[in-house]
Amino acid sequence: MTQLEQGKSRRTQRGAALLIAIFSLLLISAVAIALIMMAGTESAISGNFRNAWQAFYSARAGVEEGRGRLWSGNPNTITLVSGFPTVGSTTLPVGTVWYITNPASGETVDPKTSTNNYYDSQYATEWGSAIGSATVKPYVSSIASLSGTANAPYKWVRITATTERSLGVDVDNSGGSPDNNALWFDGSQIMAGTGTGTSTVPPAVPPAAGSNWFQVFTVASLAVTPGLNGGQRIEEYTVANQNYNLNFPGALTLAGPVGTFNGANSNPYHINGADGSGSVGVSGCAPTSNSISAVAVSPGLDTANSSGLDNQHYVGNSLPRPGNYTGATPNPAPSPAIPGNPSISATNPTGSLSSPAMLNQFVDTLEQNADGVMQPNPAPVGDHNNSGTTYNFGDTAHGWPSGMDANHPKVVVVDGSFDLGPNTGYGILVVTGNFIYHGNSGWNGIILVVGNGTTTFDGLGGGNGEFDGAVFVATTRDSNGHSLSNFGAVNFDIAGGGGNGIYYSSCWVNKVSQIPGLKLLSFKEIAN
Amino acid sequence: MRPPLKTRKRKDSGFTLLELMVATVLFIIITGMVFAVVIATQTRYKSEKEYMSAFQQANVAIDQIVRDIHGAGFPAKIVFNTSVLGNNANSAKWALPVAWSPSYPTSSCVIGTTCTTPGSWDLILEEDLGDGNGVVWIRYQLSGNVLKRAQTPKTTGDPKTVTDGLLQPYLENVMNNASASDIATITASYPGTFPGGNPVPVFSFPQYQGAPQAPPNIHNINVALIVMAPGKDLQTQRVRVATFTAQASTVNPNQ
Repeated sequence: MTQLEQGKSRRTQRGAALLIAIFSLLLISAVAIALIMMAGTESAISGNFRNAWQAFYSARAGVEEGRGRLWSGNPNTITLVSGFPTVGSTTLPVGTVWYITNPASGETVDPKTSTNNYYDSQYATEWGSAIGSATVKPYVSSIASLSGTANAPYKWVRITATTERSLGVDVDNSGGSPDNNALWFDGSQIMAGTGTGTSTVPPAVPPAAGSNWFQVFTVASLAVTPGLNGGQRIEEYTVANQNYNLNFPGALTLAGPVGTFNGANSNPYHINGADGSGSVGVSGCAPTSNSISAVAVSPGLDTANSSGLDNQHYVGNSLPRPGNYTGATPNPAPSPAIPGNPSISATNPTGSLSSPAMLNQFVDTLEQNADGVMQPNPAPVGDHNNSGTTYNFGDTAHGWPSGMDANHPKVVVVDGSFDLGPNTGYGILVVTGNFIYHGNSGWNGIILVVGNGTTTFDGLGGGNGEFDGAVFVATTRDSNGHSLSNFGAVNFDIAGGGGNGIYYSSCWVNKVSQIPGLKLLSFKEIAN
Repeated sequence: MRPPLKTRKRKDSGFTLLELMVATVLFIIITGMVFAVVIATQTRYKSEKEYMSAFQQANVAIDQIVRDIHGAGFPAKIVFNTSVLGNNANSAKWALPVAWSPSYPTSSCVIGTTCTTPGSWDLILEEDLGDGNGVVWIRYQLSGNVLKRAQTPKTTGDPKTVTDGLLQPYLENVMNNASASDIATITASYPGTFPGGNPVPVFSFPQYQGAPQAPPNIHNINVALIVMAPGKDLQTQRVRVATFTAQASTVNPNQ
C-alpha cells in the first residue's frame, strides 16, 4: 500500500475510535450509575430509619423539657398562671397556649404563624379551632440541657390545659362529644365535669382552694430532623402536679400506744385542728372551713403504760388545760366523757401513714427527694437509720439545706435525733430519732418524728413560735432498727410550756407535700 | 488505464474466509465472556435484592413492633373517672400496655409459667391508634418461622381467644425458634446468633425494680428478630442471616 493509500484508509476510519470510546463510556457510566443508585437507595432507606428514630427521641426530649419546667422547683420553671401550681382559682384557662421554642441556628420557629415552616396545624385537630384563634403567650426559649451544646432538634413544645376533647377520651363516660372543660387530677384519677370534689364525684371547676386537686396539662412537642430524609414526629404527654396526699387525722397525731403524755401547763399553748392560715400564710391559698382533731391517737388500750385506759382517755385525762385542745368534735364521742371535752379522737391514720411499713416506704421516698439529708459521714448502710447522733437546725456542714424560707420550703430527712432549737423552719422535716425544741421555735409544714425504740417529741421550755401544718409522731422500728409490724410506743412531753402550739393548716400541708416533678398520666404519638 | 492486478485485488477485495472466521470466533469468545459477567452480575443482583428485601422487611417489622410498644397503654385507666373504672363493662375503653391470658383482666399470671401470653413468642398490646376505632388489641406471635400479627378492637373477652383466629403472616423466615438442624446450620456460619444453641426469644421482659414478672409490671420489652434471607450466598453457599434487636419501653403508666 502506498503512503497515499494508507493515509486515505486512515481518513475513512476517522471518528470510529471516538464512537467506540463514547459507546464504552456510556456502557461503563450506565453500570456505575446503576450501582450508585442501588447504594443510594439502600443508604436512603437506612437514613430514613435513623431520622425517624432521631425524631422520636427528639420529641421525647421536648416533652420532657416541658414537663420539667412545669415543676415549680425547677430553676427555669414556667409560671403558667400567677400562683401556679396552687390549686384553686388560679388555673390555666382553656384556649391559652404556651410555647417553648427551640430553633436551630439561623431559623425561625413561629408555630402560630401559618407561613412558618413549623406552623402548629395540629392544634386545630385537637381543639377544633386554629392556633390563630387561641391566646398565645409570648414564646419561651428552650434551655440547653448541656451548656454550649444545642438541644435535640425539637422545634417547639406546646403547653395547654387538657380537656376531654384534646385528650380524645370521654373521661367521665358522659356520652356525646368530649367536651372542652378543664380536667383535674386527684392523685389517683383524672376527673372531669363539675361536682363536689370528693374522691368519687368530679370536682367543681376549678376545685376548692386547699384541696388536693391539680389541673391536668397537655405537653406536646414537634421534632423535625434535618436533611432530605428528615423525620417528623409529634408526641404528647398528659401531666399533672401531684402531692403525697397525706391525710392527718389530727393537728398532732400520736400513732401507736402512748407511753407518757405531759401536756403544757402554759395558757398560751394550744393545739388546734381547725384549718388555719398559720402565722405565715401561703400565697394563693385560703384555709378551708374543715376541722380535724386537735390530737389523734390510736384506738384501743394503751399498752405502753400501766394506766389501764385506752389511748384517748389516757391522753385526755393528762391534759392540764383541756379547753386549749380545740378542733373537730370526736366521733364517736369518748365514753366516759373526758373532762373539758378536748378535741381528741381515736382514729387510725390512713394511706402512707397507716402502718410502720407504709411509713418507712414513704420516708424512703422522701429521702430520695430530700433537699437535705443529715447523717454521719460516711453515710450509714441501709435507709433512714437512727444514727444516734443529735443534729442541729441550720447545720449545713451536716446536710442542712441552704435557702430555706417561707417561699422555699425544703424536705429534710435527719438520720438521728434533731434539735430545732430556737428556730423556725419550712417544709417537711423527718426525724428518725427524737425531736427536741426550745425557745422561740416553730415549723411551717409537716414534722414526722418516725423513730426507733420509743420516739419522743420533746419541748424543753418553749417560747413564742408556732407549729403550723401537722405533726405526726410514731415508732416504726425497734431499738435494733428492725421494722415493726405495728406502731411502737411514743412519748410526748411539752411540760416545759411556752406558746409553741400546734395549728393545723391544710395550705401548709399541701404546699410542702408537692412531689418533685409532674406525674405522667398518659403518652401518645400523634400521626402526622 | 487499468490499475495493476495486484493493487486492484488488494483494494477491492473483502475479508478472507479465514479473517471472517477468526473475527467471528473472537467475537463469540468476547461476547460470551461479557455475557457471562452480565449474567453473573444479574444473578448476584437478584440475590442481593432478595437479601436486602428480606432484611428491609424485618427492619420495617421491628420498627412497627417498637412503635406499637411505645404507644401501648393509651388511654390509661388513670385518665378515667372512678365511676367509669368501677364498671367492668367499660374495660374496653381503657388500655393496659400489655394484655395477658388466662384470667384477663381479673388476676394477673406470671410470665414464663402461668401466662399463655405474654411470653417469648407472643405479645398482645392495647392502645388507641387515634384512628377513631377506639382501643385495639395488637398481637404478635411467632408461629414456626412466621411472625404473625393481628389487630382488632378490644372487647371484654379474653384477648388470646379473640385474636387467635385473626393472626395473619407478617414476616417470614424468622428463625428465633427454628428447628435444631436449622439452628445448627445458622450457627455454623454465625456462631454467636444462638447462645448455647438455644432458641432466642422474640420478646423478653427485663424484671422491673424487683417486681414480680407479671404483665402489669412490664415496663421494658426487648425485641429480637433473627431473619434469614430466602437464598444462600452464591459464593460461599452459606445461609445469610441478620439479627435485629430493639429495646422498647411502655411510656404510659401501668396499673
